[in-house]
Amino acid sequence: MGRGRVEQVDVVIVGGGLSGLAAADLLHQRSLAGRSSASFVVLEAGDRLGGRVLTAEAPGHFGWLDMGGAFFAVTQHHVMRMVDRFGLVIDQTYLPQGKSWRFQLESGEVLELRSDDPTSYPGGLHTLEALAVLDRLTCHVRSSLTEPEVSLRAELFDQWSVADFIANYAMFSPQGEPMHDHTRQAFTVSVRSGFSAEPHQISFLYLLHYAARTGSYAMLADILGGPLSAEGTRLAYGAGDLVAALHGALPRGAVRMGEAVQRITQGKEGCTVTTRDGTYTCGRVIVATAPRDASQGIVFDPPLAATPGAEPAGARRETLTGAAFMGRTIKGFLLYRTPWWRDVGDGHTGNTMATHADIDRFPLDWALDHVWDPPEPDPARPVPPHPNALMTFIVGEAANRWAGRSREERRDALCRQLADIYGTRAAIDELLPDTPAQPSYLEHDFHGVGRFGGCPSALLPPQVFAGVPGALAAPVGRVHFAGSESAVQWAGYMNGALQSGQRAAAEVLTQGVR
Amino acid sequence: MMDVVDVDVVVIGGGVPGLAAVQALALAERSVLLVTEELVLGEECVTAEAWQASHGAVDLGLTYWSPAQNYAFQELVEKQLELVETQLPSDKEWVFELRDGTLHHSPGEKEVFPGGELADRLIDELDDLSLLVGLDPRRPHRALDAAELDAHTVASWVEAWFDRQPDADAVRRDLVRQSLAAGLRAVFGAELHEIGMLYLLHYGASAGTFGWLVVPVGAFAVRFRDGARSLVGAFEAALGLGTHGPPVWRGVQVEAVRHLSTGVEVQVRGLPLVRAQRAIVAGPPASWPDLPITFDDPALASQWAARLALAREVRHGRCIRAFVSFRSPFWLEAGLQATVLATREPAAGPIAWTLDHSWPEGHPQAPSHPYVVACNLSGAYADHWRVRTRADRREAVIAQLERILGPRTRQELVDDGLDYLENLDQPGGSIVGTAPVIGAGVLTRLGSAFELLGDEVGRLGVASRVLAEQWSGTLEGALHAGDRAGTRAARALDTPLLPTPGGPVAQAAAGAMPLRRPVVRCPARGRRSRRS
Repeated sequence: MGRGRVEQVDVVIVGGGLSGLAAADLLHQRSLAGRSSASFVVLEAGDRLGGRVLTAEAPGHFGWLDMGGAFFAVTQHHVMRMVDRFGLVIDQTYLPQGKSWRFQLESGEVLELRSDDPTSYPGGLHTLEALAVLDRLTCHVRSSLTEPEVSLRAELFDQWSVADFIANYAMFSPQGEPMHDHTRQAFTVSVRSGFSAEPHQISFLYLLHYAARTGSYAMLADILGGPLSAEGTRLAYGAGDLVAALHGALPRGAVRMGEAVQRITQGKEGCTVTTRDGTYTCGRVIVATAPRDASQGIVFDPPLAATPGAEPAGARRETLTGAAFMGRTIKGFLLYRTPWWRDVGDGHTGNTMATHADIDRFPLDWALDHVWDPPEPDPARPVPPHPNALMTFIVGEAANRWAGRSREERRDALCRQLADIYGTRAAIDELLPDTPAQPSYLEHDFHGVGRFGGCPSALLPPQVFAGVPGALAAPVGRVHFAGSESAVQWAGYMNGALQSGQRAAAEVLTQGVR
Repeated sequence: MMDVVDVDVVVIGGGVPGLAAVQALALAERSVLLVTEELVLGEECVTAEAWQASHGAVDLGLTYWSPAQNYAFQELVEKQLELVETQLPSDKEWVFELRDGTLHHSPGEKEVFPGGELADRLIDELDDLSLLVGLDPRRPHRALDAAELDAHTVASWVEAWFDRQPDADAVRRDLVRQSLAAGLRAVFGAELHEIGMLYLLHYGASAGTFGWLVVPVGAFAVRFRDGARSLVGAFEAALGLGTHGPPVWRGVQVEAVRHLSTGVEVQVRGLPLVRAQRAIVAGPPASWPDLPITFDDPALASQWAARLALAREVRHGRCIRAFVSFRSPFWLEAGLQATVLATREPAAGPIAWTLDHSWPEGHPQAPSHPYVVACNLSGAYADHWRVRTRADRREAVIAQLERILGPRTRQELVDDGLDYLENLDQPGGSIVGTAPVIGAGVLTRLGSAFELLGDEVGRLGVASRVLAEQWSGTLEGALHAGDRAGTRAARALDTPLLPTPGGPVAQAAAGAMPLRRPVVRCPARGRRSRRS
């Protein structure tokens, strides 16, 4: 049991990520409007807020680099509403028409593709047909948005991993043929960059569910969709701006840092939340973390599966959190003197996808132009002296392997691979001097940092999802669940974090905090 | 012996939701029969034949959609249709003609409504409330404050909201009232006092936010280049309806639907008895009470009665859509879009809203008459002008455009007798193309029926764009509702797990059109994103 002070509040929110802050914000705004008077605290285990949103500074180069969640689409209404409400400054991803992008195949061969030619994908029309198949299957899952497990062929698709779908693609191919090899590679890269995991790890039903809550697989995977695509827009001063704005809107003292929750005890009359240093008694608890991360270090008493009156939600939740795993990504930024890729050949967008078979030498999955150039910057804030960033991702199996090497090895491998792909030493030579005081390669791997299992989001292996209907979001007794994965729209994205936090707070208010 | 037709599922109703339901069942490889009392399929989609040769497709029914709508976009891609973007150049201004005749100009890249800051704040409030109501998309009646919101019509709610705003003086209130009324006429074809506040918020939430509903770059961004009928034709061709695919019985009279514990029987006059495992009733709820259905189980009968109670509360907006054809897009030279909202007294001006319906400049398939303004006489304007003559309406529409777009309006009319077309030229034309409307108090009173609306009554599913979870009331909502009913019925039939190699799903994707979504601007949202 915890020692020290005992505090009584109506609602305890576990986790100071976007989701927990959004839950707190809704409770506070309702109080300000005189519509409820639920008291609350946010307990954050770490020493900072934001969870999987983390904006870092490259001293002397670039002030706002998002090492976690960064991008959103203009149809992410919860994010866009916050952008409006707090007057945040946005920047668009650099995607001019008439430029090229590059794709490195498993063989090392490089394809040059045109951003304004709709057939210009690896695999061409085969890939467009595969996208149409995926999105038709996504439509069927989206038809029962809140019950993906009752969608057409749900059991089959949950028995399959994404790799099994690829292997069985002949069933869906108009020609009755296996997936075109370039299409397979393009799809594999898109799965890796979307989920930071390998196709054989992820349930195919879970992938369809994820795409359904995004809108379509094409929107999730195709950056060329512009503002509608999931990577079309970002905050010019980092997603940390949104975290700071939400935090700033909360009453003083509502957020407690360094409060790692150890135990959540549920009784008939209420709950007790125990941290190392204190005890909180409350009517309801909102657990606002990724499903897998919540199960790390928090004891539920009684166990969720044995919560009286919460059958079968408690058992399903336990199954879900027991099976969920996090994607893994080493997200980095290379800071260059010039945006050299924009001048290669007839001009390139910097969008670069790679699936080199030799991942021990060529770790890159995806790179994207991240040059700072907001249309209307905030005059009160400095302009980054070196805004020419290229964002890089090492994900899935490559992340596991490369995590054991040094930062310098990863930096050099990424630069060499980019030099290879673009056929120019600029990718190596244009990098700013990389010193301990002023690094020109910044990176972050959430895996194993504090309670984080990884980034961007929790995933399910085959043969779990269809068996646990509603488990992503259903409350268990007095414990409610937020976290981006539980969102109805844009699960796994920042928008999902906001939506799910608000939904959990509304749930708590609707059901009564006592 | 009586003839009997055995199928897995019978779909009753051949509108867009019915077609989408048949398609979902075909993709699931189930046998399906489509029965419709109409002579044509997709009756909500009406493309004017009179103007086809001169103007290309001009839609008198369902027309506009958004590239953010995924079911419509999937049909576009699979069926290799083409779209045309609504002409909304951001460097031109749009115009609001106020009740007193004042013209309010707004920059094209922003949505600045009469009423200024107060109007902005109202849109923010409606966005916040719609996001709140949308947190649990199937249960708006259980949202926070649902009872309080549902007690109001939009008209009464906005008056109460004004009372809480310190700067809401009489002048500003009047301007904001006009802004809101004009915006909602464009969406619903109805007046503020007809629309329930909770229903409005649910409708907005299903589209994302309130803002996405009312702003042209949201829900009005694109249309099918070859008209909404091209979508219906593509469904018929792709599914082989009535040919190699599912059979279709059109223009028939359904005499009895018997829900039995073992299946559903449908008796159609003069045709064999249909025996199906399941049935889907597709189409407008207004038609459900007329369905001669009986249930073997009283519990199911009462469930159906609860849905009928809700169906009886669904009204329709009214809209007379009139197209005016010009020799040139002269408004562009005056620095204007042909986007107008207007709130004159109905007698003083019939137009509620307009959009530029022209083909994009230099389009390779542009017809001889590519420059068209779509004028909508919605809500009270439709009520007032329906009883006047066509010639009166034509003259009044042109006179009002002249006041707004300038004196060249009359000079630039095409002079071959094809300068004016309206949907009253078409029987039943004023009903199609407008949204369903539900008044105050209904959703909380009949909430449980609403929550279950998309679910089955025994073996009977329903599919209607009314109250669809996504893009309620729109073409997208119709496709979504049909797909939902079809996939749920297919699933309930214990669909064989493995799809046939190269089967319907594969064939649907064959030759999927390589097409990117048009770049969209974000409506309403981001209006003040750069304000420090």
